[in-house]
Amino acid sequence: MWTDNVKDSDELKSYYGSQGPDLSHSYLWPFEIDCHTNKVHLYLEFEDWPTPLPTDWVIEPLAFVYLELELGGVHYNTVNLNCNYDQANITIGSLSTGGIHIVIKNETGSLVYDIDASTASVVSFGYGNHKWD
Amino acid sequence: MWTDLLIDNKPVRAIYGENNEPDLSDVEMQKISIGQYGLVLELSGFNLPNPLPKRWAERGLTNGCCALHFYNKGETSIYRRANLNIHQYKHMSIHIKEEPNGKKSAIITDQHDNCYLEIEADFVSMNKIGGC
Repeated sequence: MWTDNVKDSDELKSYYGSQGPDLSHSYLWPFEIDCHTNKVHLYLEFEDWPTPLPTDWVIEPLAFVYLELELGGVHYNTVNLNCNYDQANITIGSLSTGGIHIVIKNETGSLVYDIDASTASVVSFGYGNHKWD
Repeated sequence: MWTDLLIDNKPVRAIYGENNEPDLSDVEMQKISIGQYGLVLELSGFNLPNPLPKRWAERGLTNGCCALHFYNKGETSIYRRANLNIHQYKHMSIHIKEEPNGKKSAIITDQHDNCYLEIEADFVSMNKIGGC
């Protein structure tokens, strides 16, 4: 399971198991590349609510779950930056080398990113609500 | 001058003057952010204005830094090609020009003239300009 190759993923796994959340309907904002370190920051928002729902999480309009990943040693297999970033379909798999493989498609199923990362870690994960914005 | 292509070039003109501008032929790429809002390039390592603003001189700043934002009117394409596996961030060259169709294009190449990223957009703006 991909989460087993992600550092600091214990809380994520405690909510979703090792398979992680369903990221097939995600809001990707932004895809950020640190040119010095070759690290990529992915900030995702999605609505695959964990079961059981944590007591202080409320499913309501504008509510979301967020996950921020930091990827290191990134290799870009395919890049097509043109994407409707609020309707991204994201699939994450594990690499036998210990890293993760991420495929991001747009709302029409076109491939936007296909990348490998030799390291990955959870920077932040939790519940949010845009009514607080 | 490439700064003529900016949506609002008054801030950079105020700092660099009417006949000078940041030279983007040898810069450091700091960060690229891509999202629904378009694409933002954060750069450093280019020439400081002459004369140097007093506050910049007092802070001992040695090079210029800025953020360029490329964006469209609608959800049209912004990307042409990329080779992001060029893990080079120093000595990059950025060439910004206006295309015959009025769009603004930017090609980023490394010191060996390999294309790192090529984009085009309806608009380009300078989100920030300063010394670092």
